[in-house]
Amino acid sequence: MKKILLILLALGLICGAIGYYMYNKPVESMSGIKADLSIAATDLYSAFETDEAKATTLYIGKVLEVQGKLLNVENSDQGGTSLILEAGGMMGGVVCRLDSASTANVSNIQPGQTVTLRGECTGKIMDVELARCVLISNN
Amino acid sequence: MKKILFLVLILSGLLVQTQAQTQKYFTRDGKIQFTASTPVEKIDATSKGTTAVIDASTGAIEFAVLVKGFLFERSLMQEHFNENYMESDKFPKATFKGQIQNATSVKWVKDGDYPVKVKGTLTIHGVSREVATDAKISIKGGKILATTKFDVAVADYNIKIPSVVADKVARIVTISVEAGLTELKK
Repeated sequence: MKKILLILLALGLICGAIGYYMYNKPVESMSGIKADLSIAATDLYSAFETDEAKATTLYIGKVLEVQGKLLNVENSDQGGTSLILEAGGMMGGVVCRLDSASTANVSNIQPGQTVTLRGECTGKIMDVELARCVLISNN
Repeated sequence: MKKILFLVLILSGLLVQTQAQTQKYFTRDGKIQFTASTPVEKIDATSKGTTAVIDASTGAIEFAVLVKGFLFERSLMQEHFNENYMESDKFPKATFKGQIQNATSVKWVKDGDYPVKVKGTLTIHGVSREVATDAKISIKGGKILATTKFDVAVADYNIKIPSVVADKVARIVTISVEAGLTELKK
């Protein structure tokens, strides 16, 4: 009887600990997440241009690995860093908003380079946007 | 003589027109923060990815942000925010489209702080409502910093808070906006 109680108590503690851990778990970095799919920035942008509703179900909320030519790196006064990729559109591109922990990794990349970033597709306003991006490669 | 006058008129007309065209300011990196904290739970999130346009010639303003771009400290909270409250797969954007009521009182080319009144339509979770708030336009070296802070009742936007967490999530959410805009050259 005592043994069962002890086991139950141990189980309760373990469950509690797991629960507490899950509850407080920070948002995972993209560097440790496997991408759902890999796509060129131009293809991603044109998917949203041609059929936004379809692109929404296909891409929003998915972890994408996007390749494209870097147009510009923007550092805002509000602390955000974004990489703008050429997407063949007149009005917009693909904007990769960097994870605050990985901003240092982009300090030496130059416009014109082909880059690959991993991030979560959040949708399109003027640009198709990816959040929490990490730089995967550049050349 | 008449011809010359006519030409001058056309030219000056063109000048005025080009000036009006360049009076748009833009950013895609504005910051929006909100807090729905209660004494028992700290709930806040930030997006540094707000797209904003201000047309200085008319006072028209537009803000748009992607809901999934809001980052929380806790993964679970971010998931609940997207899936249960904002339904961001269905309603990916939150937007504001409105007008600076006293746009003429802002001297867009002169450094300074200008208090403004903004009125327009706020769309969150697929629900559009008329809102009005005080805001501030700060101009420094050709750049515009637009800031405001206002409260939103979640019930107004058809966002339901389950009774289990009723005492943890605030009914009134405070939204702060801080966007640095530069002249749009296109």
